[in-house]
Amino acid sequence: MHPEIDRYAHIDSPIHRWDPGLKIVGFGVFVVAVALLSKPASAFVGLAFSFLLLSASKIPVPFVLGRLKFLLLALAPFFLLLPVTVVSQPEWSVTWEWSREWLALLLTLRALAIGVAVFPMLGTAPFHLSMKALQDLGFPKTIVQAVLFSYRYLFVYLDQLRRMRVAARSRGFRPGLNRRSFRVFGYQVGMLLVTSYEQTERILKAMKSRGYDGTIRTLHASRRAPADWFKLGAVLATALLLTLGDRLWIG
Amino acid sequence: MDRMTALSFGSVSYHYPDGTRGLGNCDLCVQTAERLALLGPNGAGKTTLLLLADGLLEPDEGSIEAFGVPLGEDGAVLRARQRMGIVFQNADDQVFCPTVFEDVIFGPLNHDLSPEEAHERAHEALKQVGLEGYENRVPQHLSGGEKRKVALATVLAMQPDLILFDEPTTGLDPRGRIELLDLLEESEQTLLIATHDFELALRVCTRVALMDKGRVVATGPPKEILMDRARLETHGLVQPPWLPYLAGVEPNTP
Repeated sequence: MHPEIDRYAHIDSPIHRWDPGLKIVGFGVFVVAVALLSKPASAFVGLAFSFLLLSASKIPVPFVLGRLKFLLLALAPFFLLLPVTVVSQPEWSVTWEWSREWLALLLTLRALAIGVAVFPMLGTAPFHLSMKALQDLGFPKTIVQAVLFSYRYLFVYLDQLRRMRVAARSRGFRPGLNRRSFRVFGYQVGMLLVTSYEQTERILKAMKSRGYDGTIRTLHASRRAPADWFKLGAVLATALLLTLGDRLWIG
Repeated sequence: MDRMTALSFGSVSYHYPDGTRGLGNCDLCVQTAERLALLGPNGAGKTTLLLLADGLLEPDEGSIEAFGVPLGEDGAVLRARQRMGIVFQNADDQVFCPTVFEDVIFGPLNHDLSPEEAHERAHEALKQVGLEGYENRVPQHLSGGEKRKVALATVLAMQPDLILFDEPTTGLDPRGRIELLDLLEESEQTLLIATHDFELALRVCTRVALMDKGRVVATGPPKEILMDRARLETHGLVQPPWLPYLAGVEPNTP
């Protein structure tokens, strides 16, 4: 099973019923506000709010945590690296500052809060509708198309890479941390790039033959109800309160 | 060109950017309501011919006319594409939307049909290929045969007068292949089918064009072309031993 972000796009929740365009605006502002927080305590509040939105979206928490474990793995080294200070003059010395662990914690909390918020933002509508909403918000068509088709074909290419690895193993290849293995990985990635480029050309031809002119057209018609604006107001107010709290009160 | 011509190629040449010749001085005429098979070895230029016909490649020399209009004229390609569709060899290239229904309705929406009409056409096309109830399925989770049917539905939904097929039976299991042959046989549109499938050419098509080295070297009724074993071998094809029995004629030897 592929790790599609929109696997739960067809269930029903207040977040699912929110107009995709306003949802992206609301969550976008919230994500920026969280990224600018300067104190671990306020980042923790931001994370709590992200989980609240996730809960409202009814997307299963284990599904989200399963995807975020890679983010946590990537952030773990910060707890070891950030407290270390290396001084080269007048002589080499290495010191450990416990206070910098707070910085690592702040980075981790902010990243987690954003990572969790992405799921109710993009996982509560079919991905192409979210991209259509981005297009309607004025994002450049080229970027929207690049994201849309990267997402659609990411899994095709992952499958292809998996098949190439199986084929290599079937011929006795055992991957390891050596020069030959890296060369084989290089060949596989290179072949993937070539075939994906060629497939991209074929996909574009297939789209053009069906009248595609660069604009995404879907059956979904945007009908914004008062409830959509109310949800936007609530999320924006939370982002504002979080920012003010970070600057004025918290910590 | 008479009024009954759906597609015509006049001395068309095309070279790929790396210099490889795709077509060289190629002539071909497809009449409306006929089902023409393009038969030839790999590299004969069959796919290139289809891409040129749909305006997806531009010829170096020669002229291509679709429904009496030269494709070189302003806006002619876009108008021609409203009357013709192409089903690609690899369904993964053609089926790219998140759901089957979104994919089938992609073409009608691009041609600015009303949502109601586009909806109706998409449902009708899915019904034609026997995929009713597949509307919300994720294309990447379908079998190869099902994806091929979706790809066909995406083109049928545009209700084209001419459908171009690139190797439609490649990779299908026997059942999927027979179902597709039945669909093609029942089709009322003009069909141009690039294929290696002798049975398809014999059973479905009204005429066969034999291609080799970027040119059409012979055209004629399927039996006449497919039973000429010597000519097939001259142009890099091997007649399957069972084909004469299928065609109801005595096998001959070259």
